[in-house]
Amino acid sequence: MTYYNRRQFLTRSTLGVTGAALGLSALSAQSAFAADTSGYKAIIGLMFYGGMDHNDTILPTDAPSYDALKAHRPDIFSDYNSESADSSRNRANLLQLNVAEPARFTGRTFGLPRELSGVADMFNAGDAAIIGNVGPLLEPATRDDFETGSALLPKRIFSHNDQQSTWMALGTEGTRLGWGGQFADAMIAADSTMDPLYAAITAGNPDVFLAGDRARAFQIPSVGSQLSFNAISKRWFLGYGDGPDAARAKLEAFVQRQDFGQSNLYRQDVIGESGRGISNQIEYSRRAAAATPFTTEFANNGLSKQLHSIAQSIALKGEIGVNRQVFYASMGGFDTHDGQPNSLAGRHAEINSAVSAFRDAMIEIGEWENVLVFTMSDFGRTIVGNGNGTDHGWGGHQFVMGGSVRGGRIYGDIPSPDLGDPQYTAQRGRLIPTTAVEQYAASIGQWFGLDSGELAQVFPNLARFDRSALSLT
Amino acid sequence: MGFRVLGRVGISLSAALLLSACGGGGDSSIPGPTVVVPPAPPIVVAKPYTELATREEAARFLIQAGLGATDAQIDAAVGTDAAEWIARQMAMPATRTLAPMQASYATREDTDRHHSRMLWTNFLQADDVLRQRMYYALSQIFVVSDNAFFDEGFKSAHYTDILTDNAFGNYRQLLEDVTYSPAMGEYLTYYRNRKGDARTGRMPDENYAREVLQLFSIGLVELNPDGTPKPGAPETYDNEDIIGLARVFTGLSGEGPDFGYNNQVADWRNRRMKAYDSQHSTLEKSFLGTIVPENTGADASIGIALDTIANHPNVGPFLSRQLIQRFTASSPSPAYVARVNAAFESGVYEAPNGRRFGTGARGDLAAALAAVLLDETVHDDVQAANEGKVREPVLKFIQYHRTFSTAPINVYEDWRFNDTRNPATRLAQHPLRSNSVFNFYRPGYLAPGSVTGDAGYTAPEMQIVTAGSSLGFANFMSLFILSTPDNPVDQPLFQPNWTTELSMADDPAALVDHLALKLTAGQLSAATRTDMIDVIGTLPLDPERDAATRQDRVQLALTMMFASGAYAVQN
Repeated sequence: MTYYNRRQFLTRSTLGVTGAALGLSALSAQSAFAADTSGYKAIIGLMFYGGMDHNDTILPTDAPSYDALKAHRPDIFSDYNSESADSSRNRANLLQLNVAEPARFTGRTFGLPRELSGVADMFNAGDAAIIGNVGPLLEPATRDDFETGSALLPKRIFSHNDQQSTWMALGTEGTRLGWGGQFADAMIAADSTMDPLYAAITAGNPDVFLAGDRARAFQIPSVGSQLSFNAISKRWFLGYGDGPDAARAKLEAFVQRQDFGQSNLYRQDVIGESGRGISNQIEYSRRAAAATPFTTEFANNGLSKQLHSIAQSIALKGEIGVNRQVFYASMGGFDTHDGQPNSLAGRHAEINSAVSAFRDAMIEIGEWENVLVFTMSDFGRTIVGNGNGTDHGWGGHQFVMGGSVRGGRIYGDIPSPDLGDPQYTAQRGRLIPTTAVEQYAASIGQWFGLDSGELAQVFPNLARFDRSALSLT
Repeated sequence: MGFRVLGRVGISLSAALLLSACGGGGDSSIPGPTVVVPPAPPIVVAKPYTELATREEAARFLIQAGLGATDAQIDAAVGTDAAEWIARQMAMPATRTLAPMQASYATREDTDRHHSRMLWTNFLQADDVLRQRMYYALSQIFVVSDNAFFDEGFKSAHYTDILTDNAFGNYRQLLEDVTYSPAMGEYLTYYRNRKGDARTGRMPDENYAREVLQLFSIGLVELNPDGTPKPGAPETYDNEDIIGLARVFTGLSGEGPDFGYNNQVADWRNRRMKAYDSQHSTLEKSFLGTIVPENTGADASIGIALDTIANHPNVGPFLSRQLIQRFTASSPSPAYVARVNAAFESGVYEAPNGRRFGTGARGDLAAALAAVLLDETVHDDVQAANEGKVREPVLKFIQYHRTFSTAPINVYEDWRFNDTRNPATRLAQHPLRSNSVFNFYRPGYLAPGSVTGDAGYTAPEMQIVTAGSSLGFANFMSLFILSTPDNPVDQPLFQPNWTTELSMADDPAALVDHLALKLTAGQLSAATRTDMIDVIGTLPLDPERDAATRQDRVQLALTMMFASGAYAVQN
């Protein structure tokens, strides 16, 4: 957590130069495979499916803004019993964020609900930052641009599956390459000693985020699960003796075989995936079994289990021979059209327990400086409630966490709850992003070691934005 | 299967016969030179391509349309026409779920698990297998997840009955019944959705307005009749449409004297929701080019909205493509979609053997489904590299039991049926329980790093075929294939009937070919077959433990069959 490390990558002065250099034509001349693969670095993308309500995650703590937000969604505050001294949404109970350069927000202050206490601590310790109002954009846009269609806009802005895909792969559903996978591709290309199998790892589902040209999501099992194929590992099934042993050996080869000369493309795919998967999973779990367990305890919830698996994988980095890894974990349940107070608080608590334990585990093995955790979600939500829920929006706020994050800051903007702000749509108060996903992602990629040419290849619209706004690390 | 291609020839032959008959009559009245008339060629009565001429064809069709078949069922289908099987299936009374649940409720009080187990029971045992298959298909399009109301099994059962009852009905009615169901109302949060309030700024919930368009009817972009996007992929609606349509789905609540929750009748969960004008938006509602005037009541507004949605030209291609994906092809060709859409639009499908399906009303699901299952590409002997459908784990599991089980299966005794979603240990899928309204997988999914994806062929089910789920599925199946017959006392369920297979255990090639026919319609690749025969032959038979070692070989053969590509993909 040395200050030197935090600054070494992107300072404001170098960013200006980098930003200027990001014109596509200037970049095409740069040599390929220039990614920096020295040392070890991992990025960990957390996807919150459904569209997490940014307005109910990072709340205003100054009275005028707090009251304005409440007025937009009285039923939600009422369901939280926000007037009660005990309520997590009582203004007095919000955990104050000590934001660097507070003057930027002219008196507006921000806090997190107490369910996110670990994240608030990280923020205030300088290990976490907020990216305000980030979302898919093709070029800068305001309400007028949106309403009149005068700006290039991403497609299918309010559709879950398409915005999940746009966040992770820059295009609507069916897009083939995710930027996480492309980051891994760059690393595989730059370092021939790296085992491509472990460059892109999911602890949950294998979504498009990790899909690259060469990189593909490797699904790791949860910690402690000793994977085996029952028909082989349980010897009583097929009997004892030389004959059964020989049959088992052949069966093991059969289920791991990836090609049976089939002409049907689907059969090729399924057998490739299952043969490879069974083989790699069993092998990985064999290696993982030898890992030293963490002293840090992870909670018994879905995201914590995933981050525990990822932490274990990072601890195994020497064993599996990689120095750059892209990880992915996810959780669902954020599409809070109804009953938001009943569900969101619990999900925040799950996130909090997971990322707090992950941080502790990384400090335990001395890797906190080398990891960057960042969040994604389909979209933000309407500031105007529909009762005790909210509807699909566009821009929202995200977190980055890690020992080398230049934390305690809000990058980009958090517009005030005044719907007169030109970043709100005309109805319902949906935020039009002020920071593009591509800017956000590129700043992560830059820390990870991609050079500006590689970034320009992955992010074709980057040159349309001012890169200097984001210097996360 | 060589003469399969005769299907089309058959049609043209009949046409030729008709023509010559007319012509012959005309000719006889015209005097002319005497000619030697050659003897008429023998009349070839070509069979419709939908006739199931061989065991392979019968097995293949029953895999595509049904839930798995025993040897006897396959034999019985040989020589019959697939259209007749469909007609018989459609005529069967529906196996329903709510009434039997209510009947047995007195003895079983955990209604949440009750509904899931009722579904499994129907899947594993009901006679109306085509309807059950269609139910499962519709439940993956009109998605409700009982996650949202775990302890309200009657609500799920009511919804299941809606899909089951409308399985061969009309789309417009299905859409209406779904819209008014408490299950969907709760799942997509418009149950007790109130009109906007100008004073507080509250606006109606937009959830159903958006998803009914995106997922249950028209989709996001304008489509050609063959399901391909129109040039430029113009979007079908914008946010203003959603705001307008959201006003329509206000005022629905449970049956009762008023909108309030406390006064609802006790069984509101399994009754159609009621529209209360007191909480229904009185504003003008504008969407998809339709304007519902201000002060229109709730039922009338909903009726206009559903008519507008159902009449949209996208509905046919949008649904046709997904129906095909659930039965026969993961990546249907545009021409196939167009043929099914034609049946959906006309409401009629005439099978090659002359059997007619459908009432003639647009949106007829029986006509559309018959068109899916009797399509020429499904029955021809062309095996294009991009044909076929990746099988759904739940269907694979059902097929195993229907193929080998004879004893009734009492799923209430097996806790594993409470939830089969865990990909690492079970099926990565559980009926009526996907993680979101977007189902277990998306119709447009292209698998990353795959040959199908690189070629642009969609593969929805590949979304849940992962490294973890492959091993999980193999191990879950092994619980049934490997454990059960050895332990009938502790595991009395799922006792398979392997009489025929055990008799073949001393001939690995015969055993493999026999299983390959039943489970893959004879589509094992040569390399798979060779491998399997070798592995089975390696496991010794012991005359002193003849029954046990024969069983080991059958279990080994089944374990490999369920791990094979031919099994994983039906074609």
